[in-house]
Amino acid sequence: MDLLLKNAHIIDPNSPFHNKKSDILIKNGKIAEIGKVNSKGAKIIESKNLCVSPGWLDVHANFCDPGNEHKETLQNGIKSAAKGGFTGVILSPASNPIIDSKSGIEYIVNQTKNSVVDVYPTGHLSAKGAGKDLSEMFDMQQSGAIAFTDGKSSINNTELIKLALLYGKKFNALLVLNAEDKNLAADGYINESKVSAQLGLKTRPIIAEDVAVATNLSLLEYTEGRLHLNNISGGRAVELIKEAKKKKLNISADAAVLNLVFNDEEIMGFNSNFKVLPPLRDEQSRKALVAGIKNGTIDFITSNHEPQNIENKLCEFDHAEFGAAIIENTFSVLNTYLNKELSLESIIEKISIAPRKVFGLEIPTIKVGESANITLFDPSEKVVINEKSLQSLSKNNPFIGKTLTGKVLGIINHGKLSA
Amino acid sequence: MEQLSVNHLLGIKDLKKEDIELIFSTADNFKDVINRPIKKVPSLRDITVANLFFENSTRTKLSFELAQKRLSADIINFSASGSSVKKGETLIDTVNNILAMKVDMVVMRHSSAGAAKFLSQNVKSVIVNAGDGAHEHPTQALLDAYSIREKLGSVKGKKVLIVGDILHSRVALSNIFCLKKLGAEVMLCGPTSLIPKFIGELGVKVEHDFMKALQWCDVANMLRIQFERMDTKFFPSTREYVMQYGLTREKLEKVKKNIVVMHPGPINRGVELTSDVADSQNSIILDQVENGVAVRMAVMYLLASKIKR
Repeated sequence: MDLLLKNAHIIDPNSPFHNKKSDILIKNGKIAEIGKVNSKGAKIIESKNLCVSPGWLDVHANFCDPGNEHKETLQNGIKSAAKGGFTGVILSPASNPIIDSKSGIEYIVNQTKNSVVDVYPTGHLSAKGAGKDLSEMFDMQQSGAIAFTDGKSSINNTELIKLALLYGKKFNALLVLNAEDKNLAADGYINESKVSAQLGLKTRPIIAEDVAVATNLSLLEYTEGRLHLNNISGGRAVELIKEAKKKKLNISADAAVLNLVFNDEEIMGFNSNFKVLPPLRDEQSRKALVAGIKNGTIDFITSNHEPQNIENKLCEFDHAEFGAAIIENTFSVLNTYLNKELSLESIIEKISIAPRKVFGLEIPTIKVGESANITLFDPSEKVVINEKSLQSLSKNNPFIGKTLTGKVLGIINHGKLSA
Repeated sequence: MEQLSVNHLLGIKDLKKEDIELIFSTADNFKDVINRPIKKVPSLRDITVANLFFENSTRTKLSFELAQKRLSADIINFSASGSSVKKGETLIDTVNNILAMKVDMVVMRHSSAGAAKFLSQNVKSVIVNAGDGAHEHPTQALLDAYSIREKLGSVKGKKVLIVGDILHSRVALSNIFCLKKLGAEVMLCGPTSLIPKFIGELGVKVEHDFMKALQWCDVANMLRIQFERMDTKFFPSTREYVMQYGLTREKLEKVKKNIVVMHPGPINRGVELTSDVADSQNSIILDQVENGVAVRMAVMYLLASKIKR
């Protein structure tokens, strides 16, 4: 089927049509024409303020499959991602059983073949996720693992991190670490601040991140390896990463959408949908994160999508599980809450081109002759978030009942349109 | 003001100064009542109150129960530390099961901070927080401030020192909110490891030197060391704690000041304070207990008007 995108505002710094309005004709999955196009028989897509950009990539989503299909499945997770405008998703290995071997990687690859969203599995860095020994990273990479990570579980075994950084060098393994000192984080669940002083909830202080980031960067410098720090949440980490980048260490980092848009005041009402990892920090940390995004210290933004069934959230705050299922609304949330701090263009860059650079993926471009890997959206259209309209099987979404600005209209990938 | 501005008593944080004053003036009346030969009034007749204690309690539970009996309420008691959770029943289900038996008001103690607020959002009943984790213990703070008011004439302008484990203490937090709202000055004293890093932002002073703190204060509220809440050793030994922060006759004499001594109970005698201090003229610990009943009567009486029947 041919598609004709009418009068679309193209946001793609790599395209000669960047920031221009134009028609785009897509034939057989390829961009056939850009300009004033009249094509009979093509399905026409138009919207008052139609924007198009290279397809978005989310780097930190959990689809809970296998093992926790009551929270989310691969097939439904793909639909949620598509609804959120993502043409690609990098999955966390935190399924049950966890993914720490070739067979786990192959399961994801086989189950997600030929879908409109490209799904990239990651494998556990440590065998059995135990944080003790290396997993078979090379074998997993051969089967399609894009990176290695113990997910939300931070590795505090410095010898293991050192070995992984050294061992992975030969085959260019990308290690993704959640930097947190477990002793300092203890089993706390909210930021330590004026807010925690009023709530009596157990704290997970920012110092736990600061210390672990410093340690990981020392190990990186020593090994001269390649490291990505996942879901950074505070200003000290941003500073440390900035210094490391100045020293030309092979380091990259990301921040999660909720940590960029909210501070820990949201916790004042004990709303468990704001119980996330890393915890929401104070306003100063949030601002430092946004500044880090702006100056490129933090490379990109992730959804940190973590579905949880209602029983895990509708309970006492300390019993509630961590996470928010917001892959569907990631763009709308950024566009609504960060539009004063970040331009639309840089928001888009941070969820499309920037993450692909870090993960070494081909960067789609809106140029004639290229395969169409495109996200369609309207940044001015309002969306009302309600439970019924959410695709995700889990409804732990802190935006239910809210109206956000910016709507994803669809994605085009592999010759398919999902809208 | 004849009505509380809130429909539940979840924490002092949510109250206005006028609410606290209303509770105190109501408690004055009830204090008269409980000192009469006939101590019972019919104010809560035909109102059923469930006391749900998911965490151990002796005196708070007794105090609430007695307050309810004095008000002629019908009472059911449920004590089970974490048992419903162990059986897999959610808090909402447990409470709804009890409410299905036509209960109007729930007094709950729970080990989770925010549990009372959570309940108030999810079940149809008037909720009184009898302590939620390390968050709030509003009736304790009310009776503490009420006792200070009784002893010193007013709370405004008084210098109140809270000593001990501030980090794990719902009593400290509710006291801070309550005393600040009533215009008192508050100072905290205790081992640095047991004082939250950001507590100063609530407008309280922090002093680690116990003698200096004693010198400063009009009232010293000695908190109980909550060994049961500590999963780490925040100080090396009880002995060393007592050396630095235990209130003794000698320390009291040294400051040459008539300091009012309080304790929310139960006392670890010889730890927070020595027996001679606990039993001295300075101590209003037993007044606190008596006032507890009057204050809780006032709270439940005022909240009863919020019951939707």
